[in-house]
Amino acid sequence: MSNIALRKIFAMLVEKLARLEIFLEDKKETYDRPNLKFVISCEESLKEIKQDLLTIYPVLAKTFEGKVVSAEETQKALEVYKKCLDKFLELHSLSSHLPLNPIASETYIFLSDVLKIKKTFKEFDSRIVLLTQDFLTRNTHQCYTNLPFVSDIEKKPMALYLPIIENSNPLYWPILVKNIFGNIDSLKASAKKHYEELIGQKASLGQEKRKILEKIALQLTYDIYSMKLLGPAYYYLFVEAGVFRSIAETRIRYQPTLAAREQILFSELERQNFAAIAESTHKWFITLSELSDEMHSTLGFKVDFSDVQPAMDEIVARLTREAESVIPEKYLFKCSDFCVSLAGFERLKKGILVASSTIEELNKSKKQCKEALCEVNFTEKTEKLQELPNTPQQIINAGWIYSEYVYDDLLREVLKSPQLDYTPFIKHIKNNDTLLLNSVEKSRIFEILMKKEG
Amino acid sequence: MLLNKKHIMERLVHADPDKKIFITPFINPEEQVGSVSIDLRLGTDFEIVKGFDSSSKPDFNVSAEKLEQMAVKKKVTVSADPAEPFYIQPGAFVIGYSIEHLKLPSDLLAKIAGRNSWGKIGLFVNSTAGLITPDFSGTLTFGLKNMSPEALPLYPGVRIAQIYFHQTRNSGSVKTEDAGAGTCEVISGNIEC
Repeated sequence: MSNIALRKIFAMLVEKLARLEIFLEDKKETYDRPNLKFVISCEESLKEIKQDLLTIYPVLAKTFEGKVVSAEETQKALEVYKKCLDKFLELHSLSSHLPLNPIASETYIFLSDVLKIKKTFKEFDSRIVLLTQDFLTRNTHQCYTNLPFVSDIEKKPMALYLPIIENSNPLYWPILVKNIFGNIDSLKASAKKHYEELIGQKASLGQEKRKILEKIALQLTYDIYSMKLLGPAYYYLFVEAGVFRSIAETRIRYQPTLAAREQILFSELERQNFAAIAESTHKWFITLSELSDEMHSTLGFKVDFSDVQPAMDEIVARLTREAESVIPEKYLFKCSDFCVSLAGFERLKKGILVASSTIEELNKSKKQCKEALCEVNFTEKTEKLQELPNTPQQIINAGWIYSEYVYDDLLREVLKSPQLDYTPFIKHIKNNDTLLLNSVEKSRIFEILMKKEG
Repeated sequence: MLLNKKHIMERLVHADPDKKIFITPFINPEEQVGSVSIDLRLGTDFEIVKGFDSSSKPDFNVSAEKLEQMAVKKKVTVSADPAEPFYIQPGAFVIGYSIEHLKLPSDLLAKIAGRNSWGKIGLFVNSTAGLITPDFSGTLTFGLKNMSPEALPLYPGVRIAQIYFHQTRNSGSVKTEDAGAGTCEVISGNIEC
């Protein structure tokens, strides 16, 4: 396992600890008895996790110094990692609301926060909050725990509300997400249909391999939809959740390996001229892949599916076409959106809102994205100051790129303290979440005013 | 030195991030940049000061920071929908925020003033911070006071205030992090901070 990958997974863990601490701070303010009990349990677990983490500090410090980490040290570090993860899952059993904060990654959290603080909409706010939280909680919960999520939210056909919301509510787009993902049964059915058509003919395949492939087909359906609608940030969130789950629950035998999912998806993206995204984000997915592979081989879990690769490629191509036909054209996350996110990332580095981008910034990042492949076509304007509002998807992805960029430095700072003081992470999370929240909100106001003023 | 339009424009597009004025989202630069100022727009959030914490008797001999903590505020958020304004009642004082996020370079400070057109109908706008110090980064806060006999509708997005920029001469390497901190002086004029 590479030094970078080792650091990355621990940075992810420290980030989750920091988020848990922020979550507990908020909980403490409510003062009611069940909350306090919950807070005390969490704090005890946190202490234990901190103690465990301290034991691998020397190994992590070595990675920063560029020294070689031995196989035994890596093994030990991964054991500690798994132990900490188990404790997180124990905490999860204490409260079904916990995934809303400490376990899920930041892209997911700030979105639910955006909705909680309502902001720019009125009439539909409570419904939107409930529905979107339901969608996000369900997906994240299932990704992390593999357990069905029981929701008490009333189900109503979204088609009924969508046109009204679209006209009156600048934050309607999560509803669209809900609407598209909400029809999850039909997604499952189409994945199964494509799988059966292509794999079913192969009589030589063993039962176990068939099951694994079916699982991969289903998993890829979600991957493709999240990537096509919300960009790589969300895809990363689901992949990360999948890795966490597969590490925590070694009994899941039919879970596709991350390497398989990643390889399949990225080859498809490259085929579709999404090379810039694949190239820019590959390094971050690789660390997850390495972790996943390392843990699986350690635990004796690995499946070679190379013999059915062509059939899988065909399934992916079909599913992609299907996703593109279901998601309206203007909501498809394209390569040009990723270029905007890259421009937003440059702003976040300076601590500036990402609600909009100037034409100049967009042109700069266009070059970064390899123009020829991306086919970005921004309107040429002479006014250097003129800005265009960014979409929430673009903003979310910018936040994700920025987080990936600062993780290493934050971990380095944490390691400087003799005790596990992850204040730098807490500071980063709070600042970044606030900037992104404001950006999402202001970009929507910008759009409304732009339309109003013509 | 008070920056004029030419200097403001230069700073807004400056290639060096240490010299650049960042204002975002800049919805309509052509309309917002004036001869010596930039117009700021009203956001969707408002705070109404309802009084002071009733559990403790307000002691006005305490610091402004302490009083600010004791103040009971009601937060109001209006829709960005143009048909749904926020009404400021006669005599009421509310706190509003700009849509724009501002980041100042280390050699500029700024001041906010209300726009004449609002003043003429009885709405007084002032910056609660007074001076915006060099290196400031964030959303701007306005104090809004309705002195007219009628409730005034405030629509998010309206140009409510204007910001002026003064160049400073750095007399030390200390960066200003909050109001009043740091070492800077205005080249012309009589403000020192």
